[in-house]
Amino acid sequence: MLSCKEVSNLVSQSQNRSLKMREQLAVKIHLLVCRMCRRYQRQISFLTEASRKLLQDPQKSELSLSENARTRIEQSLKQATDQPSKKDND
Amino acid sequence: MSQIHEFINKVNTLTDPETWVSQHGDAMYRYALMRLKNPTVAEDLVQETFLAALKARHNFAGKSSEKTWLIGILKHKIIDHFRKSKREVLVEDINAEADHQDEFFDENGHWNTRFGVWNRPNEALEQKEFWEIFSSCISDLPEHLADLYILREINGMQSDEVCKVLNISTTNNMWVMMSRARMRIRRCLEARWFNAA
Repeated sequence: MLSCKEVSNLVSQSQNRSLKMREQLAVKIHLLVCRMCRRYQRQISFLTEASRKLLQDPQKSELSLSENARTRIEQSLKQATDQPSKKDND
Repeated sequence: MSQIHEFINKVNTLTDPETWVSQHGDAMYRYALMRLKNPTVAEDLVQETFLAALKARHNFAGKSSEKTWLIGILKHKIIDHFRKSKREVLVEDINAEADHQDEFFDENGHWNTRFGVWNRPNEALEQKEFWEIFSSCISDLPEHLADLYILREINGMQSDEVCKVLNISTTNNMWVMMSRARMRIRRCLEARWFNAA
């Protein structure tokens, strides 16, 4: 039977990819008898849910460039494109 | 296998720099902000990254996507920033993380601490303080785990691109690091939110 350490790694991977059949089965068997890992799985799924929600309103506005910053950066980029400065040697 | 071939044969090209800010600005800002926790510095570094990229655009080899290339430049700007601001910077081989002795398990692979039941997690998602703590738990990760978690989980970058930009040598190392990041964020949330009432 897999150890908690191995199961925790697979539980983490299952957030990003589909586990292979035998991995799924091994995890399932372990979870049947291990309360800690069941708890872990629930909490890790919650982390994934929260991570996906982070980009939704209202947090989203704080995690995006402000209109001011966007304009400023676009202008500086345009300026640099129009007048290529002397070649840097770095 | 065919995917790998497609990947190797694909040569990426750059788009018009005028479109860079609208295409990549938010993703880059998010990454910088979550690492630096300072909106002004994050904006500055994003701007510097674009300007550096503009100068270097003729050296773009097309081995990664435009976004990965830009994120890679930004990553170095962030490292430089920490170095300059004299915060301790541990430059270690990112792949060493995968071999670290584990602080979460005993020698038999059992959890070495017990953790609690989280009460009403869905209510947490509605509260501003929760999001502050959540972001802070991610920012406080060791820097290579923070890079990985932010780029992969928050920005949704593909695994192969993340490995490239962070120099992670194998997918297996990436999974181990991802798992370690999640354990730390879990522990942090439990201490600072769920057990903190």
